[in-house]
Amino acid sequence: MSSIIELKNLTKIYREDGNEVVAVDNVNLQIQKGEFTAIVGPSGSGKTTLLNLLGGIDKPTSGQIIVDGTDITRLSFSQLVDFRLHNIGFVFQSYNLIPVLTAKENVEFVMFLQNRPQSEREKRSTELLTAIGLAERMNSRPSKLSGGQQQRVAVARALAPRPKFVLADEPTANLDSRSAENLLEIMEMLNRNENITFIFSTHDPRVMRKARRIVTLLDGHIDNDTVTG
Amino acid sequence: MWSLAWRNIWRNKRRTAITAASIMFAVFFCILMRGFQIGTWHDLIDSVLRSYTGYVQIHAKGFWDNHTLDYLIPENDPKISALDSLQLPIKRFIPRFESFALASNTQKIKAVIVTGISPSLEKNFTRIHEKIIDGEYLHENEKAILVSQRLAKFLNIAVGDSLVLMSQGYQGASAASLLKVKGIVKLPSPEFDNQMIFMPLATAQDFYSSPDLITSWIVDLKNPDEMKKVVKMLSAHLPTDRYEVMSWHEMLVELYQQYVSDEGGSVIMMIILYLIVGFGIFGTAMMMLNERRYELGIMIAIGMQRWRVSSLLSLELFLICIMGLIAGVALSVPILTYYHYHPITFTGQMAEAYKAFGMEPVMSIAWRIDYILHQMLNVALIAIIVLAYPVYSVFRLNLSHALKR
Ligand SMILES: Nc1ncnc2c1ncn2[C@@H]1O[C@H](COP(=O)(O)OP(=O)(O)OP(=O)(O)O)[C@@H](O)[C@H]1O
Ligand SMILES: [Mg+2]
Repeated sequence: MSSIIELKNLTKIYREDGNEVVAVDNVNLQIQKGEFTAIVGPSGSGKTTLLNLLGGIDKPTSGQIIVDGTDITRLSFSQLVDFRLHNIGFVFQSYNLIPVLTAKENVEFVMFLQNRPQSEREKRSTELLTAIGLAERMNSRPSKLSGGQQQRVAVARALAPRPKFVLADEPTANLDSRSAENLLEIMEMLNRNENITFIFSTHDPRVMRKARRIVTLLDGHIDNDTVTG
Repeated sequence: MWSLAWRNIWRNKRRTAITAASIMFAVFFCILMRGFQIGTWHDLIDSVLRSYTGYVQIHAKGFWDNHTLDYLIPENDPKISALDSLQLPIKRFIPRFESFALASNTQKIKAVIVTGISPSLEKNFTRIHEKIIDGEYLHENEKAILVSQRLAKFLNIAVGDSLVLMSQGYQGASAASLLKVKGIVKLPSPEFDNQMIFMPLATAQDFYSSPDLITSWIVDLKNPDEMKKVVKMLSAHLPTDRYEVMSWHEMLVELYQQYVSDEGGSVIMMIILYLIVGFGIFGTAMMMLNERRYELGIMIAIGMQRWRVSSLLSLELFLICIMGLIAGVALSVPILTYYHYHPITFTGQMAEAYKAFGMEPVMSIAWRIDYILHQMLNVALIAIIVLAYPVYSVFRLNLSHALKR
């Protein structure tokens, strides 16, 4: 198997009024295509920072992030925007969706930015909304959807353009345990059906159990890396 | 993108409505203010200029400053006739012979302004014949004069009497003549009414021993708005070492300065108004950005370029401005149109004041597209300046900070 992401000596140091915080400390990690991996660890261990670096949202202090042979740490801001547009799907903790767009329009939004034809967007969004069980709600605005439904739509949006991988920072943090489990089931189903790599962070032990690989962070370094599935 | 922007501006209906309404009122107020101002001045200037000087005159170079007979130009001037073939926006050139004299009726003597006119041409321009309150209008070449009302009263003369005029003619020749008063004219401006004498051009030339010479050409414009253009064109076609082409701006300096300062006052008013509006739009832009920092962060994170995000915000602000603008124009134009065709009529003191200057006691309102367009331009300009802020903010946005909740 070929690795689609390779982190080499990745370090992120925050400097704030004289204090230095090493949020990510010399991390080396490889992610293979099709993985369903959880990043876990206590609060402040560097999960968000690591995912932001992986997604090109933040720049590392040192080290390399190689995605499919490209070192994305060398890209400019706008090159990174385009890189994310064509390669990465994002699911954030909450309020992922554009409030004035319907569920369907939200799912199509990234494809719209990619200038994909209307017919393709239509087909793909319907297919995904059906897969996540929200076909009936596709013309609802986010405010009319529950938190769990909103997160499912966010997952559909992230997957819609078939990115190389999906990053999700605590996607279940604001959900009750049933919705959380449901979201994870949907994520796993889509991961298997579409063979799209998922990397997500979580606190929740029940969510962790669904992962096939668990990377544990502690004070910014990898404390444990276990393949379970 | 349009639909996204359109939906976004209705997220906060009240704010959008308030911002658009402030633009609407500014546009509305400015258009009406300008309409009344331009309308009133237009009337005032037109009546003053039409009563005597006209918008543009041509003289021998130096005449206006010296007003002596050392500065005369030929009445049959090939240079002036050549202008006719240029298709300038000019109705006609009206010749005048203007100088001073002493008028006397054996008891009293007074310095007067003598104007030699072409009775037929002047009929279509100053319409002096309509101002005759006693006696009759002049014929070409006749040895008779029209005397202004107050002057006639001062000299105690009436139609049919004769008046002695004395002056110095061209190149020092002495000029004296006994002329019959054919009519009395009432001139609107008291200043003119005190000292004007009109006579046929040929009579004036004869009196001043200046056959075939005149002092001025009044340029009768087709459209006063084209005055500057005409002055430029005339100056370009006449040798500047011998002729001066003057607009009323140079001839009636005081009136022009009043006009300019009144204009300046309203411009300052407009600037203040639009500054307030500008800050209003700015405030809206700022709130919009603060509320949506996270949302904009998400958009950039999932792959929307910053220029696209700022275009979206700009489009939203622009739509608000356009709505306000259209509402302001839509509100003011009917009012403008109404008062344009139904001018406000004054009564009482104000009316008397107007009449004293020979004007109709009405306040008219100009209906010209240019200053309406001007307001649109102002709003567009403000919008563009204010838009710099969201664009700047989007480009300065720190993505990982924006995404932190
Ligand atoms: N912008 C920043 N400036 C300074 N320090 C920061 C910044 N962002 C994160 N940190 C610090 O870096 C460390 C790692 O933070 P991070 O948010 O990555 O942890 P986390 O594992 O996501 O925590 P949580 O589970 O609470 O979300 C923390 O000590 C945090 O205080
Ligand atoms: Mg975190």
